[in-house]
Amino acid sequence: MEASPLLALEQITFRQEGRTLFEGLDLAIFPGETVILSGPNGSGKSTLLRVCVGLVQPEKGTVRIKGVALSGLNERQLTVIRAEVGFVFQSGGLLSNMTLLDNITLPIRYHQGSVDAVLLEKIDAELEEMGLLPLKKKFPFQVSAAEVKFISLLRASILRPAVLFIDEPLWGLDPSSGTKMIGRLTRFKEEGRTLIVTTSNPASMKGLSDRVLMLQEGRVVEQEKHP
Amino acid sequence: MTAIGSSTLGGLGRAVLRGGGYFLDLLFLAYLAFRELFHLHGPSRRETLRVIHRQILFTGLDALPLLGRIALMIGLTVIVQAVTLLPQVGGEEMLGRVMVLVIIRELGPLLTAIVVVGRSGSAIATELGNMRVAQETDALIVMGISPIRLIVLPRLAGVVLSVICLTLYFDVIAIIGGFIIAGLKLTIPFKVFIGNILSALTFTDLFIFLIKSPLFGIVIASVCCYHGLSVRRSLTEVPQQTTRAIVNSIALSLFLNMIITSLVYL
Repeated sequence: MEASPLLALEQITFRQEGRTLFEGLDLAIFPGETVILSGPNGSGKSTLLRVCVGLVQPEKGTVRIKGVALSGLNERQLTVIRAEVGFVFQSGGLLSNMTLLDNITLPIRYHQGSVDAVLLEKIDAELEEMGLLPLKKKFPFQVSAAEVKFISLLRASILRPAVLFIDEPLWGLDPSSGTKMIGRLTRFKEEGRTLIVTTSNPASMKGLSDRVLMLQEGRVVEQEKHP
Repeated sequence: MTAIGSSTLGGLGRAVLRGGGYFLDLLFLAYLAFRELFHLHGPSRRETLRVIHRQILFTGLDALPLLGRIALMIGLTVIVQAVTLLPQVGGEEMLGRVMVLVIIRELGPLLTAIVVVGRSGSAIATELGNMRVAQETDALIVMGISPIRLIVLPRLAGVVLSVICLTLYFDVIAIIGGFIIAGLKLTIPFKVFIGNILSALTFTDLFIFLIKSPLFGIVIASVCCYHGLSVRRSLTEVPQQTTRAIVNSIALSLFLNMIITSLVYL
């Protein structure tokens, strides 16, 4: 029997500034899958991710995370369901008035009150591995775009969310940083995490994906499947 | 009715509806923040208090030197006018009354509010606008962090507490400035000068202070947060919304001041 989807989009219709981005879009993502969402610039990849986590509301249709429809939830229930989600924005989305370490620990401090020493050690180890440990007391504007991206990925993944949305992970990265990023995503995949990654260049993610989906005329078309 | 008259009335109606909608939005934002204040328990409490503390430092403590200088100058100016006029009509003992009337009742709360709008209100609107453009507020939402709790509530609480303390500080410094001139020109002892002020102070003045300062704080924080969070995706919206925040905060504070003064003293 097939497992129930971790994320399901049912008949999603979304319009933005008079333009129809999605019309009757269906999508199901299963636990442990790595899905690459591709399409030309402006096709709505980033918007679709925002729909998935309830940052924008579709005109029609339902988004379900772990079977729970987002549309029927109040703010507090949404907060609970969002704890299941990690999201890396294309620009990073780090808080500019906090250090990199404070950015990483913010969700933990907010949801758990404080950060224990074990977790701090784990964060230091991750930062060390990425070569970012000396930068942990710096602010986002003092580091490069690539470093912001890695910190953002660490922040989104530190609490081991059920599903990780990553918007254009290679955007603004040089080839060497891009290779490091792919390596990191591959490790997540090997750990059995569920990843949904957008890119306008799916070839750059070759070997990482279980499925490559293309956004075409407001619908999702499956391009490749790697069982 | 002519077409021009009809379109004018229609325009007026739309403006009233827009204005009404704007007030409702502000009230709703302030309500959401206050509601969070009563749910301020659990793990997020510490982080929220940390942001409130930072806001008080910026809006309250950092404003002391500037506000002190302004208060001193205002106190001196008011008393200069008073000491040139009052002795001519034999009313030197009216100095205390003038200080209460002009500084404590009106200029203290109002000028403090204007300084806070200029220093902190503009900073809040700009900061939140930039956060919107950089998707920082969206990042908070997807992390399950309430922007109302972590952004709006700390700014509201910080600004309200700061405005109350700063108004008190303004009054004290302005009175000291007033005494310097009064002491030089009229050789009034400090004890007599303060006695004049205290005897002129009424329970209503205290009530006015307790009403005006928090209300101005609520208005400033709500308006500035609202405009900052109204920025959508473009950086060009940030200065536009900041300007609106400053103008509307000052206009609403003046309007509230007029209403409160009229209701209490008329």
